[in-house]
Amino acid sequence: MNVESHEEIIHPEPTGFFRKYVWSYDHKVIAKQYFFTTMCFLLLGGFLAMLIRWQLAYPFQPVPILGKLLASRFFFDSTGAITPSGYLQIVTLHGTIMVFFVMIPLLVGAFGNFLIPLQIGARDVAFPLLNALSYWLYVLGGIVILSSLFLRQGAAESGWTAYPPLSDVSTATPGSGMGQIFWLIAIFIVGFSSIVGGINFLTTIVKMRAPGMTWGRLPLVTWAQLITAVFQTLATPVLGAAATLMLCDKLLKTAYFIPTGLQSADQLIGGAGGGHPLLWQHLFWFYSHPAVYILVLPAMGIASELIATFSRKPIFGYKPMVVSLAVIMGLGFVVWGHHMFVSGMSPAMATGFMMTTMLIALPSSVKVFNWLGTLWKGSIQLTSAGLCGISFVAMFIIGGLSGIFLAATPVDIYLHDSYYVIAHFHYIVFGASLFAIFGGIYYWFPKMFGRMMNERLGKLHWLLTFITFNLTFFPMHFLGEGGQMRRLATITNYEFLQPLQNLNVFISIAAFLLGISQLIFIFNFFYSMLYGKKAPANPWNATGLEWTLPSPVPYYNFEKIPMVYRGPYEYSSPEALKQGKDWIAQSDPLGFEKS
Amino acid sequence: MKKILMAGLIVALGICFFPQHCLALSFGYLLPNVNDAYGNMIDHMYSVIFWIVTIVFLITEGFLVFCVIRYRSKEGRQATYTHGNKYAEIIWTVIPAIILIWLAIYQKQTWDFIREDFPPPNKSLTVQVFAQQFAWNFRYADPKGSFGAPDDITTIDQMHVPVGKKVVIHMTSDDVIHDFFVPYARLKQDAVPGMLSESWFEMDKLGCWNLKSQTPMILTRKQFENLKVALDGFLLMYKVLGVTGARKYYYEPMPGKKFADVIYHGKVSREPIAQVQYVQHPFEIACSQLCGIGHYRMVGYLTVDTPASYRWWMKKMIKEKYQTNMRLWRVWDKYYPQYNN
Ligand SMILES: [Cu+2]
Ligand SMILES: [Cu+2]
Repeated sequence: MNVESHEEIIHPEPTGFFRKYVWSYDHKVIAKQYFFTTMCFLLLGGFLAMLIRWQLAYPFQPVPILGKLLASRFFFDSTGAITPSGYLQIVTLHGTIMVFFVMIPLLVGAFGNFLIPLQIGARDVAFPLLNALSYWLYVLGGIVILSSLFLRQGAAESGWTAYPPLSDVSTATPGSGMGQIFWLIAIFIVGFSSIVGGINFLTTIVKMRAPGMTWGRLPLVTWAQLITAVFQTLATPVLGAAATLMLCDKLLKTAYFIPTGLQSADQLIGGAGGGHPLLWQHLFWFYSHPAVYILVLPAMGIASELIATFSRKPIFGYKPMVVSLAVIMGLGFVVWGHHMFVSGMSPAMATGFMMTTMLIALPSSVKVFNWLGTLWKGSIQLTSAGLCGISFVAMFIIGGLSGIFLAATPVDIYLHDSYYVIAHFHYIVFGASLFAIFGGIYYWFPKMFGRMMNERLGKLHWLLTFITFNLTFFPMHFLGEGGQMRRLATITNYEFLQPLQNLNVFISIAAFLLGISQLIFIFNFFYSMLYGKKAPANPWNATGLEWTLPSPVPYYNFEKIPMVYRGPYEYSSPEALKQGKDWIAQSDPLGFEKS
Repeated sequence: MKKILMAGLIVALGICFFPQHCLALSFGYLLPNVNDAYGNMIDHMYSVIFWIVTIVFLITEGFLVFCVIRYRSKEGRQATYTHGNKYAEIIWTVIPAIILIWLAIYQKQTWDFIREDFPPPNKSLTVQVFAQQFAWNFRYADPKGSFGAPDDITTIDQMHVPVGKKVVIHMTSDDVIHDFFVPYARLKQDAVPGMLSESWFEMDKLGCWNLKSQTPMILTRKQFENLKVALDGFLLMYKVLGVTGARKYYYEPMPGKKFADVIYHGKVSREPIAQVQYVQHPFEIACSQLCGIGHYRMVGYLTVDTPASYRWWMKKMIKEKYQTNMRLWRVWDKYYPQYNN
């Protein structure tokens, strides 16, 4: 690590609006760009979820207000009710947007971009141009997916998993015409953006750490981003390949996923045939299982940071935490078949994937125990950020435990593709990851915008979200146990599901309250950005390098590249207590002055 | 403020975890199982995992809540400085590892039994299932036991199986992936175009409808044979109760019908429809894989028969030369002839 080489590439801060805010190379600006774009998509995705819940509670009833405004357009019929095709479009868009356009770019693009250089003591990422490219590719993908809404036959409607032949054969369902083509192009583009980002972060973390920032001193946020970047770089190309093959099927009349003799609308499809629908499932899940880890690993990093800081304790078992991340990375590539237990895949393969899936529960449980160990005998500050970090653990436990039912091949026969699965992954992606994200925002907001968020509103938002989230998603386990299948426009056509309809109404009402509670956060965010209390450099008395910088962080981050002397979470160490404080910054030379 | 927050925290944790989990504890939502061959094994696996998970849940969440309350920051509290503990790490790695590996091995037996130990053809009934948007087609072998002959029985959305008989399903799909899901039988298997998937089950209980209370009943073979149950002459109707779309189902005599075929102790007789108290009632077959805009209304009916009522049904189908959707079955005969005998 050569400090001088960094000095050479210092450019003055650009002054024009375009270079400063639009085509910026500054990782902090790009992080904010990601942040605001993903937040818009989060609102849209959440809004689509409200429509899903409306339809499930009051099937084919006109949607209040909005149905009138948009009657006969998008997902609505002339009375303002959601159509069966509209419902599938909503479900598909909700999943696609939340995975590809919210969680991945938010956790990696926004948090990764902002935090990695600051935490490793660098002035920027390794490839600033690629960084800007990655963001604008993501925006392009977003434009493509949103414009598919305006197509005559509507957006894609084969779910975010896009299983062929439903997705592949244009006559199988209205959305599988142009809508699916737009979907595939959008996925290809965001996939490309994700690969570019992954390579960039990988290089940055490996090559640009400040002197003294050894692997054993790297904050867990950055560790998690490193592992995530490996997933992004190695798994996403497979998704790109799969999307390309399906595009060929649709545009060039090939038949990669279309078997011989396939019929649709009483017509023989796919010319020569010879393809296989399960091939897509293998390729898709080879990416999308690791994608689940892309959705949760960075959040694990954030939660670790929050829990250590607000327990005022070093993280319990730093090394096991890192090792378990690495084990998740290794095993994460060989568990994808657990999505295919009832697909017709060989039962022997299912057993293999069941074994690896049982094993991958182990590193996750080790992490949980270490978080609990960190809380133990701490001095826990229940700030809004701290509460969110602790909620991550509480929700992650539930999501992890329900996963064991689904990993068990015999039990999965009954629970596969049911609301149990929906409950399970929403506990991980919403309950765990989104709580960590809220916590991360409360925590690093001062570093981003130079002002503090309102604590009172933050706690209120946490409390309401925590309650309504659980009231929404916990009962979904019961729906799954009662046999309710996912992606049904309504359950009322099945006699055996009738007893569950009241519970569906309950869940929908809880979901609406959950949606409304988010207004508090939005208000708090913008109000604090403009009028919040001015933030000191280190409002939480935290130890990372980012807290040695003024808030907000100046253009060049570090005037002088810092020297790192110790691990990332030196809270309550006896050395510090002698100085009258309960923390030592990583770059504090205390005890090293003489050497 | 701090006190209010603490109270809120405890109430929130209270509301969210414990009563909900106790509810789940009652197993109230798990549907009854009617597949004796392995449905109980699946439910057993479920409850084994359930108890393990519940204990882990109570320990971890309990410890978390304990820490948050006991070690919350207040005047004079000083966090303990520690980087971890080697022995603790070993304990909480090894114990979960043992449990998980044991679980993996333990469930493998059940899975192998369900998916690899198929009953031999001479001891089972084979039914071919051909899924299409948005219906289930079934084909039964002709009396000589082979499929694809001009006189075999094909039905749409109606499947009949004898109670206590192992049934092997050969299944594929015509257009997109569907999923054959019989919730009461713990049976779920994708129907994938271009490949044939095999599964099997054995029903040990029968469905029946009580006309007086207009409610469904699940009966053992003995209970069923002790009731006078109508095999035809009735229609399943429903009325929608309100904006939530919830339905109330009921059976009504077919308009104009005076007599129904009624089975009692294995004998079928014609009885005046007004005297009937019970009607044979099928279990539903759902589609569990997104298959297009009609996914939500893709319902099939699986009727479990006693040997006598199964014979009655078969005879009726043969007499009527009941066949539908032969275009589809010609596709099957072209691509899967090896499964026809
Ligand atoms: Cu997975
Ligand atoms: Cu279907």
